[in-house]
Amino acid sequence: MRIRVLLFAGAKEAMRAGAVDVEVNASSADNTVSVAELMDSLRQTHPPLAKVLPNSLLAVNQEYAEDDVRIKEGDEVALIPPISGG
Amino acid sequence: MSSASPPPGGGKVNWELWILRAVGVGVALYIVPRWVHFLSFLVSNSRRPSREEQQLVLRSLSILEDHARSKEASITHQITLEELGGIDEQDTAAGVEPVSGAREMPMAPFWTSGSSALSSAEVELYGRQLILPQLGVAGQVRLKESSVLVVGAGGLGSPVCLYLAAAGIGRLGIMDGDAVAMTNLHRQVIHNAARCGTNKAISAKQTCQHLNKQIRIDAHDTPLTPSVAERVVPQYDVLVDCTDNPAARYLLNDAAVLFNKPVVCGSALRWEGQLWVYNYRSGPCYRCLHPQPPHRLDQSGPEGLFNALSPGGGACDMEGVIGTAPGTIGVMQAMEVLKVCGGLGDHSIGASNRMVMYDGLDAEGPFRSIRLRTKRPTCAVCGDHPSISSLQDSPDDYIDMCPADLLPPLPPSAHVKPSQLASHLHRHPPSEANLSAPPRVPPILQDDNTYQQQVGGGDGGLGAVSVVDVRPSAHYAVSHVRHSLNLPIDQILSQSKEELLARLRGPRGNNRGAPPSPVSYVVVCRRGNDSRLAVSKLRDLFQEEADDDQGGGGEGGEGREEKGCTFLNLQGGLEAVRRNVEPTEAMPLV
Repeated sequence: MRIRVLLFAGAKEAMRAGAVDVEVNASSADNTVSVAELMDSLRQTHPPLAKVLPNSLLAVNQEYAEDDVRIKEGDEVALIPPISGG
Repeated sequence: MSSASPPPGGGKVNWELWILRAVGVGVALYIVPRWVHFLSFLVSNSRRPSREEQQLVLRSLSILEDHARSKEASITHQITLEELGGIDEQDTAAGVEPVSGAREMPMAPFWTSGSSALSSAEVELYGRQLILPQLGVAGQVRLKESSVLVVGAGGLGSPVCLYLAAAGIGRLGIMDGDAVAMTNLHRQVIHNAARCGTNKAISAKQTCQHLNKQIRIDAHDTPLTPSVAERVVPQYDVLVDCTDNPAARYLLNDAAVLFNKPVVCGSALRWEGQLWVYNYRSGPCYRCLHPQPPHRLDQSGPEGLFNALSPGGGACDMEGVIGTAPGTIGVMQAMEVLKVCGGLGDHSIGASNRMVMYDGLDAEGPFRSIRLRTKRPTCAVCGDHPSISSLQDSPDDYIDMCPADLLPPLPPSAHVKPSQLASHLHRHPPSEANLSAPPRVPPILQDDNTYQQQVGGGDGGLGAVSVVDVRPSAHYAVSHVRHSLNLPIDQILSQSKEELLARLRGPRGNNRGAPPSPVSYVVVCRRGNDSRLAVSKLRDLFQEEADDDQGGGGEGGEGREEKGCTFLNLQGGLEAVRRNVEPTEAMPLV
């Protein structure tokens, strides 16, 4: 299953792109992946993101998502690291 | 004078009369021309004064008048501000002058205001927002009775302080330990060029007090520390996070939770910003969203440290920021404060627990928002079993660490003093002409673009020097040491030994037959932290082999070629070199 992840702040800077597509193996039962699985795939397939992942939020359909939230095809996924500057 | 002939018919000559006549004529001849001259002078000066003369007189009069008026005003307003707690001794010492215009106008006998809690001056000042039905007189009185602490008087704090002061927050605290600098002014618009060197809290207070003399403003000219937070935070109702580093954000969060204060939190970097209200209406705190401060994240070696502490970019001075990004977020922070304080909390983004994200470069729509999580039961400070019950419990979280702080120290011989490099560069300014010739230089230094200064002894011990600048390429592009090599820190940390060797050698560095000779790479950055990190890695990669006369056994020729090269850290960075340059403006630095 291909998931498009929108990137913000440090994540966008690390990839020099506003979004990345990531291929993950969906569970056969309901064709979904968990947030934790998506994070793992991102870490492996997009190494520059590794440094921002531990402190970032993942939002699915504009809502904060815990590690066990299931993502299905077509969901809007956003990776949001904190910004510290001011 | 003619001799007088005797008059006909008279025998006796009146000599006295003739003498008198002669004297009279003489006197007249002497005096009349002078009188004519005097009279013509009078006539010529009786013309109307010229325009310039009129203006001069008027200007002098108005200066005198202003002077008299200001004398009177300063006496009146000193008293008013003392009563308000507006200006204190500290401000007077810092050159903050009293503001003008505090005159309370009694109302006409037939006229009354809708609330005794607002003075006629306040009614006039806040009239345009008072007539908003959602706020009204009651809301304005709530604002007047509120106290708000703004932590950080920088890019976010500038609009926050200005709008909160203007809107009539009754007591405004402004905290900042830094001084105004020229590089701040493109975004920190509450300050001005004349205040460079003044503490930011005091400068911000001065501007705000000029904007609104009706409110009390307290400047806390100190950085936020645990003890300062314990003393100051309890005095206020609402906190505004306008800080610029993770350590201050975690400290303010923990203080907010421990003293039960809501926080309107903003942040901005590059073209982006984030805004949310936390510890509000049983919502989450900062740690619920970001449980681990950066320095607690995975950090093995220089690279891990750099990634952990600069996750996608740290501060404005490294990453850059467009002034309107913190400006936009700051204005929205002020809006949230006004809602929280003015009785419109239901309309706050804190009530819906949402975070607003702003991206000034997003043409599709620069704003979006996400709904945040609820409280994290395992949160270290607001969870069910908190491990932090005082600001003394987690001191490391509140120290603004840079990666170099967490590394083992470099040996003293691995440092160059800024004055040493400054005097070296002054005496031997890098130019095309004195780029080194191949025979004296080891292969690693063969690079047309790299400055290699061939200098004998008696030069502060620097000898042949090659300057490696590890700042981001955008910073390097603005200004740098002539013929220095730009090798950004993230590349040094992420690239392999072979890649780095190629970069250090440069495009034509393949003259392997040349004999090695001692050469120093002086590694520089802005403040001397990233360069220390770079030197640490470069020494690990190259210098240990070079130091080891046995050549490290299994290592091939690559290592041997660097024999004799040393990597030196410029202490205090280019900023420190700049302090050795006269005038400092001759070395603009970003």
